[in-house]
This record gives sequence, structure tokens and C-alpha cells, in this order.
Amino acid sequence: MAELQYKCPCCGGALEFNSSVQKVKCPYCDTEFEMEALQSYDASLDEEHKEDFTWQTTPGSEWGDGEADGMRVYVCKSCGGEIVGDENMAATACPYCDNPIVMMNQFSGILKPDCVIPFKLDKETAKKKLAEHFKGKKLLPKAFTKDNHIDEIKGIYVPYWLFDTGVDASMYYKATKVKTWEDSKYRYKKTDTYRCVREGDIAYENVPVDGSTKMPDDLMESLEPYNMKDAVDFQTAYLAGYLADKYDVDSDTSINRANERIKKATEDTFRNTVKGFNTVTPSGESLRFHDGHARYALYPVWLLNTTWNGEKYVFAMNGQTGKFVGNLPCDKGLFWKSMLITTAITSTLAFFGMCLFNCIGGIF
Amino acid sequence: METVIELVGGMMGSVIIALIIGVIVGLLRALYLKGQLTSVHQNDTAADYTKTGSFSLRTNKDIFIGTKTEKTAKPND
Repeated sequence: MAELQYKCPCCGGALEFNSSVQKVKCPYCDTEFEMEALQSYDASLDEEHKEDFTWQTTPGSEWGDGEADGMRVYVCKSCGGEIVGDENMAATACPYCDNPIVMMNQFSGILKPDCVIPFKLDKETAKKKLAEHFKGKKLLPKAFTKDNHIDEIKGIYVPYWLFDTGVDASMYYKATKVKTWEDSKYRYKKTDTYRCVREGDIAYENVPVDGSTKMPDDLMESLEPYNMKDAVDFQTAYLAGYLADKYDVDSDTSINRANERIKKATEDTFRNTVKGFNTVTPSGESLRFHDGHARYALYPVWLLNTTWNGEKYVFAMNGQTGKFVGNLPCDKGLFWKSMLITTAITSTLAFFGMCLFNCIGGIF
Repeated sequence: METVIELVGGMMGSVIIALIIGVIVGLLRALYLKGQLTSVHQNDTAADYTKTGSFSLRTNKDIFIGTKTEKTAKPND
């Protein structure tokens, strides 16, 4: 398996993509490089890297059937360290010398992404956002913030399928207008019933579906939206300094989730055009998708892991917009305390309010 | 004597009603604060990804089906 590390032509240090300047930058001598320059560098390295690293595995026992199917071994070009990863790992850092590594073969052929949104925000911003995430949470256990040490902060390019489609929709509703009035003897209720028909077109672009089973779908959907104005054609240089996975859920499987989301959005949009009625109930629909196609993209995500009281907590930050999400633990003691205090204050106010009301009622 | 009983009964009623209001408000506030700890949710709609200006209606009809009038006698006072 061939891997690529971008070496600084000036000092030999490992280059990284710098999200602040949107260029590849040497962290050692601060030299900045244009992406176009690295493209030719990339091409030249393809020719140079013909080495074959064959490892003998005789000292160990034989793997069982299928045991090692998803496992891959990579060798760091800088220190020679052996890195064991799964078949979907596309970029990582050497655990021995911390050199950023891009597994070139993972992005060959059909696996090459169409576009990538480069990281706009750095690790320090992720740490700040985590601190902000804890602020104002009254039921968050104090010990969680006090003892909290983030186990790991990783910048990851997450594989996404982006779906574009047009939708030709026919939607039918049963709607009613209700009018009431009364005379001296009777109350009247008049209900007019209508059948509402809405037919039309709507289109969606870049509906994202996470293509990695490692990433919880709800966590990734909570990070949305991403803005495609920052998307650029894929180049491996963007991966330097970050982790990356290739997809392990194909577009055909992911399309079901895209269908669900597009269907819901279409239903809501058409429903909002049925106005002026007291009740509206959907009575039928027909959606016809056309001009649909999918693209493969990598989106930037900062992942932060921590463990507290034996439970693992995962936080994530959108590497483009800074949106930060992650569920927090609840202090049950604080929950009941908060409820009791509010109950006591509200009950007292309500009691005196009622007494005051009765007194005023008595006077008048 | 009756006035005292009415007064105590009325006061107890007020206390109970005030407690019920307090418990409901207290529970709602605690649940609201607990909800602040959860920020991971599925996003079930693709509304954020609607192509600008792509929505157009070619049929927009409200067809009248029928009417129904109900008449209820007012209770005699």
C-alpha cells in the first residue's frame, strides 16, 4: 500500500494543510505552498514511489478465515513505523513520529472523491467551542467539567454522498372551513369540505448522507448544514495533517436516507401552500424524482472524545461553520433540586396570587 | 364555625391548586434544562438543500366538496 507524505522542499518537515491561510504550510519553517504547485509535486511522487515493502509475518500465528479481511498495514516513510488501520482509513498521522500520512491507493479509481470542503477551523477553535458548549448548562454535573480531560481531538474528513434531484409532486389534501354562530335557541356549526390539489416541481441539491458506518448518523446530521460555496475539486494535499476515511456505505444504500429527507421536505413545502382552512389532512401524494445523481465528497469534522464515569461521550464540530454538537450527562440531583426550587417558588407565588384574587373579589 | 371550616377548606383548596401549578411549572423547567444537554438529533428534512427558485406550482386548486350544518339546542337556564 503506497502512502504519501508531503515533505517541505525547504526543510524536509512534514507539510500540513493550514485552514487559516487555505494553503499547504510547513509547520517547521512556515513556508506556504500553492495547491497547484503541489499537484505537480503529487504527480512526480507517483512516479518516484515504486518501492515495495514486504513484511514477513512468520513469527505470529496464522489469521483465521476472514479475521484480517478488513485490516491494512501501512509503513511510515519518515520513521518506518508500522501503522495498522482498517481498509477504509485514507489519511492519518503516524503514532510514532506524528507525521501526517495520506494513503494514496485508497483514493484511486472509483473511490476518488468529487470534491472536498477544506477545514476552515483549527483544533484550538474546537477546544474553545467545547468550553462554550458546557456554558449555561445548569444540570451538567460539575465534576464533568472540572475533571474533564478530552481523550482525543481528531480532524477527520468524513465521506458523504451528495444527492441532487428534481421532484415532480402531486399532493392531495382534505381541508375544512368551520363557521359557528348562534341565535336565541340554537348553536350552529357549518363545516365546508374541500379537496385541495397541489402539483408542481421542486429541486434539491447536495443533500448529504454520511457514507461511513463509523460515524453515528444522528451526530453527522446534527452538524449540518455545510456550505458548498467552499467546496473545491479533490486533491490529496488537503488531507495532509488530518484523518480521512473512504466510504463504506455505498450510494445505493445511502439513497434511502436521502429519499426520506427529500420526501419530508417536499411534503412540508407543498403543505405550506394550503392556507385559509381550519383543518388540513393529507389524503394522498405522488412523488416522481427526475435528473437524480450522486457525488462523493469529503466534509471536515473535528471529533472530540471523552470518558466520564465509564461512559464515552463524543462531541463533534463542523470544520467549516463551527457548529458544535454532543450530548452531555445530566446530574439527577441537580434535576430534582431545580424542580423542587421552581415548584416551591411557583407554588408560593400562585398561592399568594390566589389569596390576592380572593381578597379583591371579596372587596368588589 | 361554618365560616372557619369554609375558610380552612378554601385555603386547603388554594394550597393544593398552588402546589399542582408549582409541580407542573417545576417539572417543565427541569425538563427544559435537561433538554439543553441534548444537541444530537436526526435531521429528517432536506429543506436546507432546496435549490433556490426551484419551487413552482402548476396546479393550485381548492375544490369545494360539500357542506354540513349542525344545530344544537341551547340548554334552558
